[in-house]
Amino acid sequence: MIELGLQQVVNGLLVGAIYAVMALGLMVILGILNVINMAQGELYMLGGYFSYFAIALLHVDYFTSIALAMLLTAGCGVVVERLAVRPLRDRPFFTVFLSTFAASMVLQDLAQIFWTPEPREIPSPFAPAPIVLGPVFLTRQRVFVFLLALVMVAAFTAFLRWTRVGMAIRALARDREAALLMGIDAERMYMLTFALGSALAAAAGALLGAMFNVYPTMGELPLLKGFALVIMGGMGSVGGVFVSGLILGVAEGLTAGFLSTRWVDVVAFGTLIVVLLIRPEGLSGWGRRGA
Amino acid sequence: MPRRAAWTLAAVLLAALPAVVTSPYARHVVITALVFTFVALGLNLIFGYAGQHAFGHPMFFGVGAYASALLALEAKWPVALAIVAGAAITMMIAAAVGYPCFRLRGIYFGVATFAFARVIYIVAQNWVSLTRGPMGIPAVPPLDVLPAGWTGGVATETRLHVVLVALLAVTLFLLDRVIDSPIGRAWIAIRENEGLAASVGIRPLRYKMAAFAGGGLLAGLGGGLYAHYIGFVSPTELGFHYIGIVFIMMIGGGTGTLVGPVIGALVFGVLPEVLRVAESARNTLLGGILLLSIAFLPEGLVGLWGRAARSIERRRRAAAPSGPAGREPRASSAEPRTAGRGLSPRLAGTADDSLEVRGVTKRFGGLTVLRDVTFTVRAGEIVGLIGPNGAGKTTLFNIATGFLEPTAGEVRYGGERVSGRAPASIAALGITRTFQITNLFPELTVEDNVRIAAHTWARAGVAGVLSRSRRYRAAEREIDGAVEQALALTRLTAERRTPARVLSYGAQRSLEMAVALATCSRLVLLDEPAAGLNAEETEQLRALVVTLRGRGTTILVIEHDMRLVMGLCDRIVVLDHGEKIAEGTPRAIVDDPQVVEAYLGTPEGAGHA
Repeated sequence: MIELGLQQVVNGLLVGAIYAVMALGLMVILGILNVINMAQGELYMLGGYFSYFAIALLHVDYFTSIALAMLLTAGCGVVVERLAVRPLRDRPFFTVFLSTFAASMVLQDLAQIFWTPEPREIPSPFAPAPIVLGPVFLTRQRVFVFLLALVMVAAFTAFLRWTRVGMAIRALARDREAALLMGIDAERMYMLTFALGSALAAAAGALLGAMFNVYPTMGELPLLKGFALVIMGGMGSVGGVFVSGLILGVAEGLTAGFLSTRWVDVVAFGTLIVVLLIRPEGLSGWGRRGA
Repeated sequence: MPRRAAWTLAAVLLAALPAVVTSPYARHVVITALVFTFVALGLNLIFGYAGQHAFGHPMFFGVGAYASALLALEAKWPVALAIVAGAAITMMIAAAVGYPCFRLRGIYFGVATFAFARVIYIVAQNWVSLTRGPMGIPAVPPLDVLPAGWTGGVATETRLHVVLVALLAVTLFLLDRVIDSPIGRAWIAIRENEGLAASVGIRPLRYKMAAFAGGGLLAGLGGGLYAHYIGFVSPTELGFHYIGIVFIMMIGGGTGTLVGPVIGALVFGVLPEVLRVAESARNTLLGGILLLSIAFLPEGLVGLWGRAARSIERRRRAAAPSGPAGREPRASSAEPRTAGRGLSPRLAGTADDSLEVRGVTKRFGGLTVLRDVTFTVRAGEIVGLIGPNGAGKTTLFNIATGFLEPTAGEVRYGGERVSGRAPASIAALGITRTFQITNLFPELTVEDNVRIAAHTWARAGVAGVLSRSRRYRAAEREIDGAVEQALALTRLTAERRTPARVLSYGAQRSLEMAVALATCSRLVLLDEPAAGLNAEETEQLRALVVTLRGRGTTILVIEHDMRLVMGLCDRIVVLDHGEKIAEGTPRAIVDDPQVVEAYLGTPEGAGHA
């Protein structure tokens, strides 16, 4: 019983870290462009497919395929920004929300048409032999995925905090007018932000896709879970989002282990609803200085 | 009435459609589109009128479909009854979902409704004993309002079509009454400016809940009709696809208009079927249509009509420049209505109708903005609240009207504790305020701005609104009378049809006064009403305040125009750095050395003043 619990906690931490990566992509676009990008789930899906095709067609290794997927998806993100976000810059918030929703519908449908709804498996480069840590079994792949997720979060935070572009992006988020007066090229920063958010989604998609296969609708749930995390994390705090991601992952793992795998997806939204009822301002209170 | 004739004609033409549309597939498409008009109308209530971004709201379509199908199949209820009861159940579920979601605002509220949509979807998939899971519920009995043998040889589909059109006509008729009533005005007020709506007595949560649940009722009705028409319900009906479609219908047709969602549902329900190249490309097509309609039809198809009408009007006016501009106002301004009690305070006063500020302290973090402030405004007085900038005057107003809570102390009015209550609840006690920075419903006309302010004393029950009862009509006439008087007193009658945002600054300040007047409050708090006004406008304001007092209204006014304050006020309270430094008649205040010091500085510091 305890072994099972422990195993599920560890599994949950791994998945949760990737949810956090997904949520950070959403959060950076929301924070800087003030856009809820409903197409983020499809960018996640594209990340999974690009990684799959890079391995299947170009015969690159798994790591290179993730890098390629991030790069290509960033390009796709820029296209989405150009077509569905930029022309609507001065329109109300919900208008842009709906136009990214439309982009999401189109992308998902195109994936169904060109790549069929059949799930595809990203071949794992890791030896199937698990690492045994006392009662807990871990595949090398999961360990790697977790570490990579950690690296991404760290790199993302460092990028925003210490690079010139990161500083410009944070300035735009804090006070658009003042940032423009300082000579920051807002359009370019918006594009970069969208590319960055898309690359994070692609990374999450390639990482989770390797565990759970890739298919055209794979992005729907991670998108919504990402939102749940952005809200639970306190809307704009990297630390809050990351911790919320881990909590969500563990809660899901325990639900799968002790209740039923069918109810796993209720956990995210159930938790979100409970958090909203108890603490509408989100769980953060820590790490509020982030992006 | 040409409007009613046009509506009737449209309904009859729509009902007669099966005479022209003969292919069974085309009829099927039209019926499906008709069913969706209800769902789009439901979304429009919460999204279009109340202005709440309830992205998940169309899920209630699926909820209604399940509820009605289960009632008909499991409980063996007659189909028509099952549909009605299913819609009622959907409304209750909507209320239960809406309440926690409304703890959030704006986009976060929207995302929360989305999360609920997903939870309900997963429940439908997994609560197999009730919903049969992903398999769905087959063999849902069809709706037929006529008993067997009475059908007169009319095809089932045609009968359903006519029933749907009739139901739609009734729905629109009732919706029209709701929108053009205090309920609809409250929704629009919340959409346009929630803070101001609350300060004229509209309880935001109550009305948002009503729109959310009422919209749920309509969406549930559409869902029930759909379930019994298609004969099958599955979790798909709760999925994103339908949420997207309903949004396209509402936005494409015209958000926040009565018929827009209906036109949108008919056009965008039929269009994809006509344009369809392949089943698989359905979403690409819908997404494309949504993108295009967002980019090129910001006001929807109805807006297109409005644009055309405006350009025709312009051309006609250019041809005949002497013609009367615009429509006739509802009541001729030559003979202002004096029916009813006009603008006198509406709430029976108690013996002790005074505002008591008792030991109020307010701290923001380490900053003390108000320190132990105590004073009383007695019924019928005009009291001035003055002090240098940053003295805490507006903060005191915010506390007295519920926009802030005091750190210590309390504000009482007529013996009742006021501080700590919500703004709308304080407004209901008969206290209203104006704001230092112009605060109006900018997109609404002058007249509608004033009309909304009658909310405090002219609320209406749903039954009265729907039936247009004698009492309801009498109340509306009362409102008309009060609006006329408020407009006349503030000299805005000629501009009644102008949107507030295009008024001049002075006229906007006048409109704020008119809004305050129309609340018929016993106590009015004016926050720098003369700021930015020229001499003539200031004089008008002075006369208006005197008139108000003559009608039994008590007034507390923050003002920097000393000549106005001295001439107007019975007593003056002086704040400086959050503390009351003086209180007394204008004469006494002018001579008070402490007041002089606060305004001009001490003799040593005079050079800095």
